[in-house]
Amino acid sequence: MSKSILDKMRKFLSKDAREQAEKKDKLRKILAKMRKKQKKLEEEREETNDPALQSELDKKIRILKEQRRKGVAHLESLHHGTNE
Amino acid sequence: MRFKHLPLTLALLLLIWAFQTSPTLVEIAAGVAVFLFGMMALEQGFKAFTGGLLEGLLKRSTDRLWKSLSFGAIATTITQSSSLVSVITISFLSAGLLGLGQGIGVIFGANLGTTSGAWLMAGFGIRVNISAYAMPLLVFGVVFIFNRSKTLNGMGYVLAGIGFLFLGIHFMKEGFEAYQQSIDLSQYAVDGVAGLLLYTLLGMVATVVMQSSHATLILTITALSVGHITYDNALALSIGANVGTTITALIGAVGANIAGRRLAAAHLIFNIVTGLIALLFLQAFLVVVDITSQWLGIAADNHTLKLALFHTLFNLTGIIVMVPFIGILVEQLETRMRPRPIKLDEPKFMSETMLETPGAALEAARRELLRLFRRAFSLIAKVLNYETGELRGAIDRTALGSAPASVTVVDVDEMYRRRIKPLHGLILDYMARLGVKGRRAQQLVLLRVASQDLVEAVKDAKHLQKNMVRYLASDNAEMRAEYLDLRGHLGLLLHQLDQLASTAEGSDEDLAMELAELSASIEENDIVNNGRLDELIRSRRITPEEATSLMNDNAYSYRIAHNLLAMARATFQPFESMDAELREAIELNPNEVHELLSKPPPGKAGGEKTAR
Repeated sequence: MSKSILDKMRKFLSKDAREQAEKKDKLRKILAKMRKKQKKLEEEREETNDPALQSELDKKIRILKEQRRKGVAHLESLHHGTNE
Repeated sequence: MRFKHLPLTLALLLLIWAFQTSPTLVEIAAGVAVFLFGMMALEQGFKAFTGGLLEGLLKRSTDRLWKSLSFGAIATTITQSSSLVSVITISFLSAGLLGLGQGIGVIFGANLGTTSGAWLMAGFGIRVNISAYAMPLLVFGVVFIFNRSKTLNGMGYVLAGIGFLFLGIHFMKEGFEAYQQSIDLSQYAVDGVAGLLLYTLLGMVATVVMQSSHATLILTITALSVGHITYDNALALSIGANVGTTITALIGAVGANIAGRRLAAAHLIFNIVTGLIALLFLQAFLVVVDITSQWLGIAADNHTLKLALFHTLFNLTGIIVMVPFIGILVEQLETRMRPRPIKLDEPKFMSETMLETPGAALEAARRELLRLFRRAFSLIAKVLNYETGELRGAIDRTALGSAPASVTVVDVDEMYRRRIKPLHGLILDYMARLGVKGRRAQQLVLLRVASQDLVEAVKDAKHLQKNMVRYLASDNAEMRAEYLDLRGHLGLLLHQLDQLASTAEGSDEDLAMELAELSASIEENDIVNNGRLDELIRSRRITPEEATSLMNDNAYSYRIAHNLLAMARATFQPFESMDAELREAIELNPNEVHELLSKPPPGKAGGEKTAR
C-alpha cells in the first residue's frame, strides 16, 4: 500500500483527524461567505454618495477583512496541525 | 380521600384469599411478579446502558416514515420494552425534536416490535429449562450492578432483568404444570363469539392490572402450552392484551403534555382499529396463520408459535391499514386536541417525563431559554421605549434612531417578577435535576450561564432606564442624541438577535458570521473606547456630571449587549451543531476592534496584508 493511501486511511480512522477536517471545511465555508459579504459591502460602498454611509461601510469592510484575516490564519494553523 | 386505597386493599385481600385457597396460585402470581420486576430492571438497565444511544438513533433515524417504523420495531425488539421506546418518543415530541407523524410511526413500529416477545417465549421460553439460564444471568447481573461504571451498571440491570424474566417464566410454567395435575382450567373455555369477546375483555383487564401486555402474553402462552386454555381463547386474550396496553399508555399520558396526549390518542386509535380488524377477520387470519405456519415449517399443533404468528400478523395488518392515514390522523389530532394556553409561570417544552431522556431534556431547556429570551426581549424593548412590533420583522433603521413619540417608565421589577423570574426559576430547577455527564454536562453549564446572562441583561436594563428616561426628554441636544444612539444600537441588536433566534436552526456558519459581526459592532459602539466620550468632554458639549452619567449608562448598555450576545452563542443552536473554536477563530476581541478602528483607514491602493 502506498504511503498516501495509508495516510488517507489513518485520517479516515482517526476521530481527531476527522473532526479537524470537518472544522476546516466549516471554516472554509464561513470564509467564503464572509468574502461574498465583503464584496457586497464594497459594491454598496461604490454606489453610495452619502459620506456617513460610506464611512459606516468602510468600517464594516475593515472589520470584515480583519475577521477574515484571523480566520485564514486559523485555517492555516489547522492545516499545519494535521500535517505534522 | 378515605376510599383512595380501597381498590388496593381489596386486591390485596383477594390475593390473600386466593393464596390460601390454592398454593399453586402463589407460584403463578410470584412468577408474574418476578417477571414484571424483570421488565422493570430491563428497562432501567437499557436506560443507563444505552447512554443516549437510543436517543441519538431516534434523532437520526426518523426523517422518513419507514425509518420511524423500523426504529420503533427494532428498538422494542432489542429492549423488549415498548414503554421505554414510548417514553423516549414522547420526550422527543415534547421537546420539538420529532414531528407527530414521525412519533406515530415509531409507536406503530413499537407495536410490531412488541410481538417479538411472544416469539421468544413460544420458540424458546417454554421449550427449554429456562431457569438454568436465569441463575447465572442473575449472578453476573448483580456483580455488574455493584460496578461504579454507568455502562457496566446498566448492563448489570439488563442481565439481571433477563434473569428475572426467565425466573418469572419458570415459576409461571411450574405453577401451570402443578395446576394441570389438580384442576383442568380448560373446562372454563368458552366457544364462539361469546368466548371471543369474553377472553378479549379478560386480556384487556389482565393487561391493565399488570400494566404490561408482555406479561399477559407470556401468561397466555404458558397456559396455552400446558393446555389450560384453548387456542381460540388464547387468540382472543392476545387481542385483548393489545387493546389493554393502550389503556396503560392513556393512564401514563394523563400527566403528559399535549404531545404525549396526542401520541397516546394515536396509539389508542391504532390499537382499537387493529383489535377490531383482528376480531372481525379472525377466521381469515387463522387461514393465513395456517398457510404461513406451513410455509415456515411450524407444526399444525404448535399453538404457541401459531399464536405468536397471529399476534405479529394482526399488528402488521394494522400498520398496513393505518399507515396511509397517518397524515389525516396527524391533522385531526392537531385540530381536535389543542394545547391549552400556557400560563406565564408554566414551562412549554420541559416536562417531568423528559428528565429520563437527558438529550431531549437539554433540548427542551434550551427551547425554554429561547422563550425566556423573547420575554427579556419585550421587556428591554419596553425599557428602551420601543413597541415590540417595531423591532420584529422588517424594520426602519432610521426610525430606530429617532426619538420616541413619548417617553414612558416601565416597572421593570414588577415585569421581571411576573414574566422572567418564575420561568427562569423553573428552568434552573429543571436543569439542576438533570443528571448528565461529559459533553452534556458541558452543555448544561453553558445553558445555565446563558440564563444568568439573560437575567443580568434585564437587570442592567433597569439601571439604564433611570437616565434613559431623563435624557431622552432632556433639553440638552447633545445628551439626547447620545442616549438616542445608545437606544438605537440596543434596539438594532435586539432586532438582529430576534431575527437570528427565529432562523438559528439553520447553519452554524451563518450564525457564527452574524455573531462575529454583532460582536464587532458592539465594540465599535462603545463610546468610552472609541474616543467619542473624550471628544464630547473636550469640546465641552457635555458637562462632567453628564459625562459620568453617560459613561455609566454606556457601561450598562455595553454589558446588556455583551450578555445578550453570550446568551445567543449558547442557546440559538442545539449544542451538537455549535463550534466554539470556529466562532473564536473569526470573532475579534475588544482590543482588536479598537486597535483596528484607531488606525487610519488604508488607501485604496494600500498594500495591507489582509484577506482580500
